[in-house]
Amino acid sequence: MEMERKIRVLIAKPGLNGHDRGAKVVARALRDSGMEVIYLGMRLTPDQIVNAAIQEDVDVIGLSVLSGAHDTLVPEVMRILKEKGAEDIKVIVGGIIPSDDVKKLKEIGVAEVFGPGTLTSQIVKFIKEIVAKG
Amino acid sequence: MNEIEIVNKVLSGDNRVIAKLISSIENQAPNINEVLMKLYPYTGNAYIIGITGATGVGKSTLINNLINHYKSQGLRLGVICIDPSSPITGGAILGDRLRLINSIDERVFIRSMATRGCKGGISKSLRDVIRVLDASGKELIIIETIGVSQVDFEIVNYVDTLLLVIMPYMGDEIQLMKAGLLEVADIVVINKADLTNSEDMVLAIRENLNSNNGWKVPIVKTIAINGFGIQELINKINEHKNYLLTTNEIGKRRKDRIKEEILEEISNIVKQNILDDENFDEIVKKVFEREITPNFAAQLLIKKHKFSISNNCSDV
Repeated sequence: MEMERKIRVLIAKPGLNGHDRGAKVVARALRDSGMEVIYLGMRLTPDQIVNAAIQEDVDVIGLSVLSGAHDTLVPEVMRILKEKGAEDIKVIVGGIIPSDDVKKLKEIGVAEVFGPGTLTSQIVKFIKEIVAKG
Repeated sequence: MNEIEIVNKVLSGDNRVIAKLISSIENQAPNINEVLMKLYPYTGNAYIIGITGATGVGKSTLINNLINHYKSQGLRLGVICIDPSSPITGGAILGDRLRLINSIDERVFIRSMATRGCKGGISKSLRDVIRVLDASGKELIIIETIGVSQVDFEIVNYVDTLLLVIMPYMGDEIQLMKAGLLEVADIVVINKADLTNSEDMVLAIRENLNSNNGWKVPIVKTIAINGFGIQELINKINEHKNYLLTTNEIGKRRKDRIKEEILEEISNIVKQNILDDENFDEIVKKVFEREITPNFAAQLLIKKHKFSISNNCSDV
């Protein structure tokens, strides 16, 4: 009997400050759509995030960033993923990010950036689509 | 990657391959049994500790303390944290890892698992996942699961030492007297022991504990957030392990677990064969219309499938 495989998503907020209300809202929406969410919370280093993503064999890493962490911490996550041979794990970023920086993030391999006002249903749809594509 | 390559990578501790194999087990990928068969001879070495108790009693904080201690002794650790899946959506929030984040390093492999519809607080894949970690060289595997005293004690069938964690104000003495976890735990931990005069609680529990075949179940008071009582808890875990080893109770328990597993596997194989039977619905209809009893229907089906089941198994 082959079960339908579950989509596993890691949600983390790298960096030292801020609140994680948005991340929690997304986590709940993903759970309600049938996914398994490894919720790592706040104050994480890129190393901790990638290490967890590998051990938990997640399909997607969702990074919630506030206040400028995106131009240092996100590239660091991408770099470590590559170093560990785990580039097949897709990365999405959520937060308030200037459009120039969105472009830069996509250039380093981030699959999508979701700004404020994004509906959680859009995120769910996106994740299901990129996982299906494989 | 072929099966031999997967097995070799698991044996050498490659985290990525280990993690992917665990996913394949959980998703019931085809050919998984071939890999598991090749890994099986390398299992049986890890010592397994189960930690259960209601939400909020402080299991994760306790585990943090235990991880730090065993790490300092140079042990390689595996940790499995089990959380419930939503019965409606099938999804889950796996939030135990985040509480362990500060004690993790390369030597500690932590995996979060959802129950995926399995009852009793555990996951259907748990045994095979434990074996993968065992084969990869983890000397100690800690399993955290949610246990509500009267119902969720399946975990006892998977571990060598079972810790039941409770805290003050959890309910009156009558609750403690009901059958369940208190009867099968090897060590009872009263965490957050500073919340009240926990001596009353200790007395109430002691009255309800049975002697588990010559092992007198200790009650340990801890305050996990500041480390109080942790050394005593570790000592008790060691004592229990020594007890199991010197009396060879460990061999008996592990064989009992194997029996349980074989019986479950038989049940799964038979069920799957029956469910694939195109006449199953007709037989259900006969039972519904009171032509035959459910028991008779079961015997009919087993008799019919006797030969097709044995054809699946190559000669040993």
